[in-house]
Amino acid sequence: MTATIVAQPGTPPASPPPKPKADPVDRILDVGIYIALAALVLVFSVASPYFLTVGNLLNIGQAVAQTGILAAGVTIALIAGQLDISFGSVIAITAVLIAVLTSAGVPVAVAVLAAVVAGLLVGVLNGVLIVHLNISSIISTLAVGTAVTGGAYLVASGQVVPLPDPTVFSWVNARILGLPVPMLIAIAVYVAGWILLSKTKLGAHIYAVGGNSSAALRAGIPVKRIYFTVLLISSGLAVLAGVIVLGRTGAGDPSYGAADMFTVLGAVLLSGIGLGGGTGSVQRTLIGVLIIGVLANGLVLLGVQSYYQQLLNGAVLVLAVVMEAIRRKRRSR
Amino acid sequence: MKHFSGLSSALAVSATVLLLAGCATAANSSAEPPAAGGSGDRYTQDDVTTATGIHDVTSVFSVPKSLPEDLNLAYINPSLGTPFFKSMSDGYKAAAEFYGVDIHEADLGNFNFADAVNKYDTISVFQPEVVGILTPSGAGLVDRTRADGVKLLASGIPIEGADGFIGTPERETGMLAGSVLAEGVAPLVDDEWADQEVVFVGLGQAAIPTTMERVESGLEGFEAGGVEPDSAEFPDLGKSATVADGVRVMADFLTAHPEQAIAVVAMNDQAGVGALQAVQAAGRQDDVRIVTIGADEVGRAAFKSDDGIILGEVDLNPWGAGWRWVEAALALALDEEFVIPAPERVITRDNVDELYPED
Amino acid sequence: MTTDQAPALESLLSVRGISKAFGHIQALTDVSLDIAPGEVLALLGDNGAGKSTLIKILSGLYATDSGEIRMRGVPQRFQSPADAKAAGIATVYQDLALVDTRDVAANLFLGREYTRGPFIDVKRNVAESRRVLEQLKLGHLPASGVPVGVMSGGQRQAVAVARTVVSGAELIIMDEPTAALGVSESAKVMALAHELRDSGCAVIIISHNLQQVWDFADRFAVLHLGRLAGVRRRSESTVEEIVQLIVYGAAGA
Ligand SMILES: Nc1ncnc2c1ncn2[C@@H]1O[C@H](COP(=O)(O)OP(=O)(O)OP(=O)(O)O)[C@@H](O)[C@H]1O
Ligand SMILES: [Mg+2]
Repeated sequence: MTATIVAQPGTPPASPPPKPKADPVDRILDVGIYIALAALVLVFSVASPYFLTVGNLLNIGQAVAQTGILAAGVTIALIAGQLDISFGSVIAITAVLIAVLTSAGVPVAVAVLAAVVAGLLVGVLNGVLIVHLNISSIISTLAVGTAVTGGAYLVASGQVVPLPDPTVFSWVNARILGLPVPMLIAIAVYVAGWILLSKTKLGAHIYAVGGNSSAALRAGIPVKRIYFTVLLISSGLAVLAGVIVLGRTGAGDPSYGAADMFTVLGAVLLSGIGLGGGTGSVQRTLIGVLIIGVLANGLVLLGVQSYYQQLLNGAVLVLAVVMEAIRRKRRSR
Repeated sequence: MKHFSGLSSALAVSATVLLLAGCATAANSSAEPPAAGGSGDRYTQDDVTTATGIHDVTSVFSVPKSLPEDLNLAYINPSLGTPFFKSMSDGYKAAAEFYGVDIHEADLGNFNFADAVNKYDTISVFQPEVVGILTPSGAGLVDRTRADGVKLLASGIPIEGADGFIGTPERETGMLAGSVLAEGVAPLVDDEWADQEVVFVGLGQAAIPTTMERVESGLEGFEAGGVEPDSAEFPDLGKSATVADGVRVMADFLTAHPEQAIAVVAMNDQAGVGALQAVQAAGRQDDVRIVTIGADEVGRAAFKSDDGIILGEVDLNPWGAGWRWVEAALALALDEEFVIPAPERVITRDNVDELYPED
Repeated sequence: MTTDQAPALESLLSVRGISKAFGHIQALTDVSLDIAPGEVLALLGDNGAGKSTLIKILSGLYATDSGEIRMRGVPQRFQSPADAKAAGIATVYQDLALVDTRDVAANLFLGREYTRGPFIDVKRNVAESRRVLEQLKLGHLPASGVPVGVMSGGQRQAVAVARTVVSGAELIIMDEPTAALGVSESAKVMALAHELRDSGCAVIIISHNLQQVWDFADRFAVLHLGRLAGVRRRSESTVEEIVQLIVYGAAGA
């Protein structure tokens, strides 16, 4: 190495730069989820004649769209170091607000706008607690989410509110060129997320803030503004997911979103993103989303008892957490 | 009819009983139940009675013995992790096997109704003739099934635009509970309770009209049973109807009514068991009698611990409900009619071991 | 060297009569110091001597109670680290302020990325990073693709130093750069200080360890109990004399 230091300027180093090598365990952890997804697809293809059909694959695409959109938002926030678990409540308030308002005769556009405002307010509220009151993100978003869910129950009087005219949202159930609309929306979200994170200055700053917020601050990056931005992205995507659920079910139910906690956090954790911030990508999260989606679909096709489904889902989550623990341990060697 | 599908669906526990009993309306309620004896080409009530054993199912449709080839059904269960719906699942699987049809099942996990359409999509690859679901928000499903030419048979909660509905009628259910309560309370009114004011209490959820219809019918059945209470009250269990809610509401009620004798109809076992615990805690065993609706595991277990306060539990027979869903689905698939039965079985301390020996 | 001396003409940084107290603790008393471009100065002193306090003043974290700071003869009033940075003073703290999960290019241009509209100009950032690394004889470090978190302590220190060059600093202060490093890694950091010096920057290295800096520094400034005990050229001093300054605050005692 000393030799390199005294090398003549301009002379290219004799040997290629000795890149610090990722060690085998890290590599296994990195490619593990791709292998897992491939293995699942293989097993289900062999076990069920229905699995590897275009119709069924599109069904999977359709079914994971909602989880996927939410998981993309959670991923972006988590890269910035903020774990946002208020997405379920945003789904609930979105669906309920639109259903209740349109039932009361409010024009659909106004109702949707109100839902967008409400959803973004959740993001702002999260930001105020996290950034200005210095409360940890998990606690802040849990608190805000709980309150907002309560609000959704209140708005709906604890009941399921059917859309007066479900056809307004029937575009959600439509297909364009044979592809389900929610799936297309999810694809758009992932492409946008990928561009944002890997191609833009904002994306670079999101990684920097999550990786080392004080260093980012000292480098003049507006850390607080970035926190608000990711939290707004996260809740904005949850609003989108809420509209999709509303269109899919034709009703606003304050319990919507409650069950997404497991699937979304499971998918995000599976990606190996960790809770530390500064790492991760929507591409890897997508693999996590697909693993959970394929598992859910395949087990139904095989008629596997739901207890085993839950068990398996739990096992997947435990695996994800263990993988993360191994990573962290290795990092802090 | 008021089309209400009100159910705060997160309330897993309270929902268990409630869900099976939607509005008492069905397009096909005028149809004839199966004949007792029977022509050879259809299953009779006797066949069903034999086949269902202790579950003692009253058939809703006399199923032909020969069914079209590869007729298959699908049921999207709201929560297989809940005992009530697990029993129901066992019931429809048993019926499918008995009648020789396939049934495919999907699970919404813990009442994740938002996922219903996705689960339908998944299960639609089997191309079922009829799909069943219990959901308070089924509008999206109506569109999806219609587009696929699949018949939607709502279960427990009616869905507007669905091809059919089968569930337990609220009014009859409540009336039965009320009459059981009257039967048990009548001797007390003449004797131990003679000097006391008698209050009828219906434990329901004010925000969910179906539950209120159920407990108000309880009062009707109570009076029809020959007991005229001095007053009737319907304290609100609130957003959920869990054991804890029952305890809370009943404890407050007992405090507010220290002298009175109290006859309770609870909308579900959980609320009834909660009420029982409140009574035991307050030492008011002599003043209170309770009838619950559901007869699920929570309710049945209460017989083992209580001191004669719970008089009976109207048996919504989830296993039988599952069985009957299959019969109704077959009727729908064959464009025939089925009847919606009212509950008739009451579980008491005396018959609980016989009817549910596996407890 | 006395405090009333006029700043040397060739001085990059000139500090005159600085004092700083924290309540009753007099952390610095009447400290005066000059440093020229192309010079490596080691700032030495025992625990609590006031080294950190002095560099925090120079990097704009603390205000002085009295005294004057000039850069290239221009009086400075640092209200914040940004002011010090703008004046051309960059400090590499022990925590290095690196984003471990990002690569060298991302770290070098942290907060000052080349962009095209909202998009980051990755190619240019990497190319510029390579140029700076080459300039500092750090061409062996991968400019992109490898997170700095997996690099060795010395390499990370080098990245942090390279960043100060990217920021256009003329005076680079390194706070105990070798504290966590082994002998060979420390030597590399010192070599890097020479590269900086050769490119015309001034470098102040704070250290506890005289052995490590002895061969590399041009001059030694020793603080003792908040006072400047002495400044010596290496060519005109000995290790023993500097040690005496550090320990007793005076030489030849
Ligand atoms: N923020 C502060 N508040 C109060 N006292 C302080 C503060 N910073 C430093 N001091 C005091 O000022 C004196 C000089 O401290 P300083 O940190 O500058 O010493 P140092 O030479 O950096 O020591 P070390 O080698 O241990 O890092 C010490 O007595 C210290 O306790
Ligand atoms: Mg110090």
